[in-house]
Amino acid sequence: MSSERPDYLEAVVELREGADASRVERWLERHRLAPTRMVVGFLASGDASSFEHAFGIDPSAPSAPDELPVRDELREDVAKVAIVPPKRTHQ
Amino acid sequence: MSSNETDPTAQGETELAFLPSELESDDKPPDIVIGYVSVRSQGERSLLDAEDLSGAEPFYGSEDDHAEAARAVEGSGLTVLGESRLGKAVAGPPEAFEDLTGGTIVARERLVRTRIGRASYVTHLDIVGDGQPDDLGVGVAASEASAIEAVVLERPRAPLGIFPAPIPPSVARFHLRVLDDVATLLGAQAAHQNGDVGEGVGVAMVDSGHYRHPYFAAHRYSLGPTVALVPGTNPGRDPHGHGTGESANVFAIAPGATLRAYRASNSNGDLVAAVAGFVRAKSDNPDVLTNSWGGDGPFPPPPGPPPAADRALALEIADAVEQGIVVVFSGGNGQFAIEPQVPGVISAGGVNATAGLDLRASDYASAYESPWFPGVRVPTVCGLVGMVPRASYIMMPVPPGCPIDVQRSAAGSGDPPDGTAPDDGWALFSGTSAAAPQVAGACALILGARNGLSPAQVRQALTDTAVDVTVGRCHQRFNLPAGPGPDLATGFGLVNASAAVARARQL
Repeated sequence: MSSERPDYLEAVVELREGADASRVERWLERHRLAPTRMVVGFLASGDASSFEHAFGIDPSAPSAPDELPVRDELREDVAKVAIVPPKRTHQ
Repeated sequence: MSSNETDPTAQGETELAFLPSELESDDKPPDIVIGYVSVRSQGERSLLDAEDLSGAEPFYGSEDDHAEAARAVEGSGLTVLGESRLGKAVAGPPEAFEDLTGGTIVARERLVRTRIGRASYVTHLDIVGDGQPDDLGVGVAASEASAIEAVVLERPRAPLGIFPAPIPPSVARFHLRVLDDVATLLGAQAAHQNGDVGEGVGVAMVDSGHYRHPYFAAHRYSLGPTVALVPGTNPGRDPHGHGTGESANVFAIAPGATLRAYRASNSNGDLVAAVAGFVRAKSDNPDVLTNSWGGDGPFPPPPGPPPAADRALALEIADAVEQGIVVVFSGGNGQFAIEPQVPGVISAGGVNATAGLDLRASDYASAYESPWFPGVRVPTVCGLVGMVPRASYIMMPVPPGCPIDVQRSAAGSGDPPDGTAPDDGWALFSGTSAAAPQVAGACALILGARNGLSPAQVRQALTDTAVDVTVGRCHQRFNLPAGPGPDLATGFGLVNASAAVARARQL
């Protein structure tokens, strides 16, 4: 298995208190990111290109930060977007 | 082409007669389709309606027709792969075939015999549209002038003779057999003889995927349909081999359990959707959810709480435990990660049983006290794990020729070859990846005997009865010794499945 970030990624979208979750869900879907409900908000899954289109940063790049900048239109609802670090099997 | 096998128990002729021979398919045609174009026959009849196929000569095409057919084929965007006096093997995108025929390429699921007496719905391609023949996968050219009398799309062929044996190979290296030895050393056989096999208990496993190795069918293990998390990946494939192999450990301990695999890997075998896999598996409400994966970070970690993504996953894991799901995570092979530290999780460490049946802490397995959750120690209990350099220890079934099959058959990291072939579908490996499904299997035995126990009670049954391991040290990154009583290196010790079942009956 490769050690670099792969092309398909997951990110945790942490919602603010009182956030409009459905608005965030629609925004993610509009940007071709699959939203899955989590305790803290959403897990967004998708191709690196979709993340880049949505957040303006290619998260698969080696220099990419662990947290993606929250877009202005999400600021009211989203506190943080954190890329899930690589998981590996324990063989 | 995808292949969705029918229930292996429903393979008799009578049962097959009740299955529809063809189903509609949700699959899209592949990016590249292989096919064959028959050049207009010089004889009287086209191959599509000829009855006498005893000789090929009447179907030879003329030079002019071959040239005209080649222009039509290439003009449509197809590439000629090879040619004969009869026709040409071609390849190209579905749109090129549609251009050539004027039809539409669609997928259909057809019931066919594939291997070792099994029947499967296998995706076939067809050309449909006005004027197209009814025969599956056969079309005619759109233009009479093209000198092409038939277009035939390649059918999936059942490969013959490459299926791995359901019985593991005999190799010279000391190792454990996943069925008998693992069950014996983890004390499961007495429970099995009493009829405690984990019947009716659902075990979910998030991993690289699950290949239907004949080993599983031969033992009549119960496998639910695999869920693939990454769009476009095949739920019937395990590109890495890890999930397939490690899952055999669940059945070694709980042969009556039903396993559902969640494929979280991409086509390279990278575990790119592990969190989605966990969240999805949790939503399906299994009795046990086992995970042989995790992240890694500095140890000790920087002061402060875990990183944001880890905190979110920790909450998901805690939520699963609060739902009543018994969650098992591997402790890691030198890694330090959030997953096994979450309160309520049963974390699986490593104990090594030598050829002389002496037990010692595995120097391949992580062990530490959680800096984030007071009182949490990793591991909780242990399964069977090999030693450094690469824990080649348990013979497990894997997809033939997968990376594990290939890598383990060769020397690496100072470890000799495992003695298997690179494409025989068997490999020696372990890690705490093996320990987690072993522990999960023990949890399934407990729940099969005492349905409704809470995760905390299942954990108590395991910890109250584990075999104390007093010698050896864990992975050198943490370098902790085992000793009498519970210790950091091995937790409460090696799982004793039968004793745990008996203890569970008292709770």
